[in-house]
Amino acid sequence: MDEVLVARARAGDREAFEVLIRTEAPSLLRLAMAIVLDRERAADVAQDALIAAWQQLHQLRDPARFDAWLRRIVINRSRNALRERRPYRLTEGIVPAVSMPLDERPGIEAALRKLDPRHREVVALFYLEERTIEEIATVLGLPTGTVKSRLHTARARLRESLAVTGG
Amino acid sequence: MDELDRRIRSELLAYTDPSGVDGLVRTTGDRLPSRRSRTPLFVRLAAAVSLLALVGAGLALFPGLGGTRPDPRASASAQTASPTTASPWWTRWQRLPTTEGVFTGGPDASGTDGGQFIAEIVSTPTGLVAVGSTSDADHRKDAAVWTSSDGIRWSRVANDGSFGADAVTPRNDFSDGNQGMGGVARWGEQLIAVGGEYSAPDLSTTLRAAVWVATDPMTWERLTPEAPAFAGATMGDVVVFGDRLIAVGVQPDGTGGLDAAVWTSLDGRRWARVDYQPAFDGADMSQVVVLGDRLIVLGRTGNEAGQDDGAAWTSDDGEAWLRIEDDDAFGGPGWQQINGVTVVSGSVVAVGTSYVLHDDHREARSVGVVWLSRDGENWRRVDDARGVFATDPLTSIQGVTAAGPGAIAVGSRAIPGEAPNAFDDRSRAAVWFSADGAVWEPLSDRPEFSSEPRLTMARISVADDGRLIAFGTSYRELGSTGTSEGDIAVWISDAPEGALEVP
Repeated sequence: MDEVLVARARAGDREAFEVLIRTEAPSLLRLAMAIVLDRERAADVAQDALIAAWQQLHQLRDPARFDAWLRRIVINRSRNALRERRPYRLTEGIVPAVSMPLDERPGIEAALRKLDPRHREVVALFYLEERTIEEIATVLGLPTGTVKSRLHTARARLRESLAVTGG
Repeated sequence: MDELDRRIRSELLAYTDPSGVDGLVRTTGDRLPSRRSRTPLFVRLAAAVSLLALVGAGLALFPGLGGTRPDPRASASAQTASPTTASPWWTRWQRLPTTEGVFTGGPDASGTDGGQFIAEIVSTPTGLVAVGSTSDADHRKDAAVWTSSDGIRWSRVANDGSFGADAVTPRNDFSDGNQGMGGVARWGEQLIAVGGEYSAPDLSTTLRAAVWVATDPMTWERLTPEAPAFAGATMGDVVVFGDRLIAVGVQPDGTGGLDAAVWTSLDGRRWARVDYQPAFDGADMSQVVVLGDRLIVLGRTGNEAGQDDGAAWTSDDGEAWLRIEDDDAFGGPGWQQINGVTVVSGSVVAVGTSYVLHDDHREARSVGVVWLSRDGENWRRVDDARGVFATDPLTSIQGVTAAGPGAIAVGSRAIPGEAPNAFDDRSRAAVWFSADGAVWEPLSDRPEFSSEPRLTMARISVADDGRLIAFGTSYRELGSTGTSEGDIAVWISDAPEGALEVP
């Protein structure tokens, strides 16, 4: 993370922020995608988060925290997005997985859908962004013990799901 | 990273392929609005006052809407409440009013977006003193102290700079960092609080212990942060041991990990870190108590499965430490976390939480755990055959205190939200009682423990008049980033009428 760029953007330098967007957008899109499990919605989340970051950047005291701060915004926007679509998600799980033809086994997406969003957040930060437990705790504002617990649970369930789906 | 980890990462990378991100970048750049100028402080204050007035008017018109926050005027009645049932005094609790700016809001008392946490409470001749931390809307933490002469009316000690980064001069990595208190002890006429400081966001790289000294509960001084004994470490708890103070915590191991750490002081102002010894290797020390003429420390250590087990140490002088290795007591499936410790009738009672899985591995569960020892060296995990610490899917014990001829433990009981969206967890405060530390009784549900959707109880202490004071958190979802933070929730029991009785 280029702290000089962040400092410039915080001071209102739009060009500096657009450079940050180009740098961060791919990983933010991946992060949102792994949580909301919907590409179009993830793009909306990432874009909303970046715009919110631009509007609120002056509140960030320490440019070195930009990285964690930005991801926290993406995660919270992802949570909001999931909340908005919750009534529709109640239909998920009605169709049993075993009814799906073997050649259409969905692999990681199906496995992620069996995790609740809190576990998906930890999975995304650990596996996609390769962050340490302490870094994840900072991003999520959680005790490290809670992060470890969620990661342990998520990993156990992913192991089971991926084995079941045979991928 | 084993084969499963590699497969998860590989499939995640493929699944989240960010193709099309160029369009996202382009349209985001186009949509960036003009940056709003910052609103002057006096305008924000005026807006806040107006908002409070509107909220107050709304609650007056619709009293049902105010049900989750107790009426501040109730404090007088709390003080004079009299027992109305024949149940033991320790089962009769009431929730204290949440005073704005004391147990809510950011460090400047003008925000509504921060969180507060109380780590430990100590009784003094002039009342109770609680130490911990507050965080602002930007999640930046300052140390914090609260005081009360009667356990009912609380105030937060004004931050004159000692509790935050202002105490750091000259400016350096910590100047915009985070401070927090983890423990406090009475030292003669003084109070000694210990904690840590880190420069966000990486907790492991820039860390140092912190000590505050108070000549009275309202006047605190932070000791010189640059003292070599504080470098790279953090303190979690402190206790008076004979003629000296003993603090425990963690220190860097030189390879990116952390080892346990111990400090000693003969005057509260000059601290020396005990030299590294193998008993400290790869572990955290978090709580310390004195049992007779022996120091007992509890903490955690990693096991071969990559999870946490509990850990214990003893010392007769604060310098040489024996580490207790006992997988039966401190190991087990899942993660073991020791959160509190006290001494009851000559036994050390430690409480915590074990995170486990259902048999079918579908969902995480947690259960409360109690560990017992008569000497600090031989430990056993209390058998919870009756399941009093596993009444809900997520049950946790966070704190414990000796009270009368027994022990009171506090924590939370939670039911996870409906899958797949689990952000509507419901949790309630929980209390358990034991006369001997071995047999525990849960206190049945009280309306005061579940008056809001997400209440937890985490710390407990005893006031001079014998009443129990419990602190916890009322979690909320607030703020520009939708972050879940919490206000402090406070409960107080009735005064004891005599010996504790099991209901």
